[in-house]
Amino acid sequence: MSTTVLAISILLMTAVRVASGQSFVNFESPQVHPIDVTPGGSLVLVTNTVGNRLEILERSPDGTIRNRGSVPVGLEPVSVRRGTGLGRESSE
Amino acid sequence: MNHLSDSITVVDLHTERVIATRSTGDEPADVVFAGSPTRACVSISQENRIMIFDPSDLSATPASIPVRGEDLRALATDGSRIDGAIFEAGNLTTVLSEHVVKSSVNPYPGNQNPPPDAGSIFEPPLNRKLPAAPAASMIVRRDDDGSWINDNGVDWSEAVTWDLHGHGLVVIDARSLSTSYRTGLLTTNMACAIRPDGGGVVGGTEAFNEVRFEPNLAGRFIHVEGAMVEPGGRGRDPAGSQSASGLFESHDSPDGTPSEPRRSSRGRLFSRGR
Repeated sequence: MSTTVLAISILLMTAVRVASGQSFVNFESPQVHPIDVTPGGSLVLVTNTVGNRLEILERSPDGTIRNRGSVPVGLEPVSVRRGTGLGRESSE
Repeated sequence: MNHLSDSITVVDLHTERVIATRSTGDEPADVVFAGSPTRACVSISQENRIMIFDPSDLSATPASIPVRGEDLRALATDGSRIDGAIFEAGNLTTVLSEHVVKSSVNPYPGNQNPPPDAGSIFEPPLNRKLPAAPAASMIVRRDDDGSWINDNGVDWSEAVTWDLHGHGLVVIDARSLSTSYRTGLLTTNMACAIRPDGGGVVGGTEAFNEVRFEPNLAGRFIHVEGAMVEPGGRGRDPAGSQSASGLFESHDSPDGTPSEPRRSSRGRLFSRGR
């Protein structure tokens, strides 16, 4: 019984929050290639589609990953690829 | 690739700053770097084309390659060739109206409508207490030989006076920018890769809209599948050398139990190899 009440109250809270527009995340654009790893494997590039940013993660030799940077880009990025010779060399 | 603002952003990973932004066509989806000198090939999903930029001079007017297929998204390259997965490829099915189905082109004895779906009977069986069923339309699928077959294995080719190109994958030569197509892959082609032997792999979903009656579908309307494309496949011509076969298929029921093997009469729909 208490589990049911809890579940319903959570559902109601979710409904209210969605209706008020506070936490509704419109994940509309389809991601195609949202993650890329640089050839050396030290950087992991991830499109933050709803945040309109490119997230740059750094991978240590022991495999741990930490945030290195976050760059605002255009609206709803869906793909990222590491390239060379793009205006300036964008190497690791 | 900024899907909503229709642009490419170039980011310097050293300084973590945007160094260039370039407008594209409507809803860019993916980019690969191919050719010599290197060019950035961008799939423009809503305009069914690829834009080719000079990465060292993004202000230069890009070349444009039209693609005969709806909603080009994922790209892959081995440096000399670019493969593009056509998202809304379709599954080579088409619909015949009830007027056609009840006409004399109906291959069933007596132009029966609705036509039985399991030999000469219905499965599941019709309820005899119900009044006669209204005339029904019919979905048929083009097989490897170009014949239009319904879910009962009956050939309706005489009734289909049109054709579908069924392009699932566009293959572009990075040097000449010439295009060719692979057909008969998946209903939606979501991702692609080039095999070391020159063939290709496509991942996506396959739909079974030609199967009638929910008990026969058993809730499994689509499968997640992969398709293999053999090296040198020509595509377009269904009688050509192009060959694709199921790589992996998800048949499990929502509750996790493996589903029953498909009935042999429908297994034919999955045999894309030749």
